[in-house]
Amino acid sequence: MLYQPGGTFLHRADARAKIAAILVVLVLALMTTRIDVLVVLTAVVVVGLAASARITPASYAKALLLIIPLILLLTLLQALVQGGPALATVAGVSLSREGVLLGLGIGMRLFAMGICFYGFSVTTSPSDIALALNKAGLPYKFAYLTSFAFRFLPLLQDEARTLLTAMAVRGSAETSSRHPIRRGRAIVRMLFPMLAGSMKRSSDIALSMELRGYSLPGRRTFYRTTSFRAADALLIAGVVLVAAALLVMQWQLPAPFTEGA
Amino acid sequence: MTAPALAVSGLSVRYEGADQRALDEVDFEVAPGEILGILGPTGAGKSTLMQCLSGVIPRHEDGAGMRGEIYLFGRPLSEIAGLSEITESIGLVMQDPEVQLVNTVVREELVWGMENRGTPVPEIERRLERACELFDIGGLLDRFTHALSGGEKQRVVVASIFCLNPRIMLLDEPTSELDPAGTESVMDAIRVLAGEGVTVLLVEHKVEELAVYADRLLVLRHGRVEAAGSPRDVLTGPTAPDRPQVLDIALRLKERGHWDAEVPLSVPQAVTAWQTMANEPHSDRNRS
Repeated sequence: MLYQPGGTFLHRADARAKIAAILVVLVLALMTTRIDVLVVLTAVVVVGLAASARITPASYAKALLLIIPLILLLTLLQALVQGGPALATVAGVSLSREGVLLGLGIGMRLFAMGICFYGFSVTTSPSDIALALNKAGLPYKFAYLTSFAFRFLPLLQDEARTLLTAMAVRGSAETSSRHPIRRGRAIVRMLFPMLAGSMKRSSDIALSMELRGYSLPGRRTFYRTTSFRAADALLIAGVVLVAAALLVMQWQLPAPFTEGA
Repeated sequence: MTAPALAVSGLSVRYEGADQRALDEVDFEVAPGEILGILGPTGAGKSTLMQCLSGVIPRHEDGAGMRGEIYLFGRPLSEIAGLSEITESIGLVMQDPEVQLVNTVVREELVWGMENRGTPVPEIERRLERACELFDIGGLLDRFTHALSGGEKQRVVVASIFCLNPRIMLLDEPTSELDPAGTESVMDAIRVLAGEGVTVLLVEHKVEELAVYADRLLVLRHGRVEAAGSPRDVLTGPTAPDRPQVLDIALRLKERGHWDAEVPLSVPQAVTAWQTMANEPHSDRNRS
């Protein structure tokens, strides 16, 4: 999920254009639960990222696999609570066809949004995000915090890895266990030292930031500049066009998998 | 007469709940452009002293009671309200580089403090170029800060403070994670800066480096100043907490009558002294 420098179209695009494009995808994904529309949207996002940023599905497949259990749980819950004709009956419990479709639709929505965010974060420098938000009117002190979060994500990962290694070298079998409960126990055990370390570090970081003028009032200069080019407008126009086509699909084409479709 | 860059008078600090003072009636002065090396065992009060000099104590440390006064170019530090105002003159490099790197990419890290202060972009570019040259970090500019080695992180942190153009630099063990070549590079940069009028206070355990680079040394023990003076006076004196190995050897040889020349503080000085003694036909060393 961390920024990877590059020279692709999406890397060079203005962060504001990318934020606008994401918002369009987000709104579209939230407007529909129709599985066919969401499948096409996800496919467009996947192809779009591959073409404009050379991001292949292999690079985010692992992250997507992590949300599959959540999607299955959502689908099961929807299948149990939704009414309508049953898709199947298991041990006397009916699983609603509508519910299964709705659960899978929500799952596809998560896929589309997740892939979109992934593409955004690996092609956009955290400083560019802060700069874009600042240009959009957010005060710099708040805009900077987005960049700051990206800086300390790897630090927390390193600390977690160090703690797990420290537990493993002292004979804890939980850290390498494949059993989810045992593994979960190791993570819980790790949380307190991680939290304590983070609290201590946050105070030092705040001091370090103040020593370098973070809280100084007055005008700030920006070394990096950002410019909105024709290509950025083209990016937004392209995404809006895709969104419009999918809305037409939603309203004009009958939904698949429904009775009589 | 020029006012000292820093003057410390009767400085005492006690942390909340502590039995002893972390600093106890500390007095000293540092002239503009001077390099003052601060030595002492762990717990001697070196880092506390650095925090007082930078205004972190008492402004950022609620649990520390402070007495005495610090004068910054003649002006009492207590008259300066905010930490940000103090940092316009004083740059502090803390021990842990990890907490001082607050941006994802090295270039952004170096320019961030200057941007906060509203430094014009051409000046930012000039200082950035100078920092790369002085601290040999030109090749790191586009690297991620989290992916740097410990030594690289330290060099970037020192460079980012240099970029703020401070008149006084407080460096708390800035070379602890550096290899010998990296240490020499940072110390050379410090010497260049001192030559340009920047005052440097340097807490360091590498006594070999302090012996060569510092103009004066200050030894702290149990929060008190135990010795102060030139590196030669302090390191050859009875209260030296540690000595360069080459000096230790020369002192032992001198005790046994095998060293006639002035005791060396560094290997090059030892080589020169040895050559001088070798050319003296009647020295004790040649007789034995």
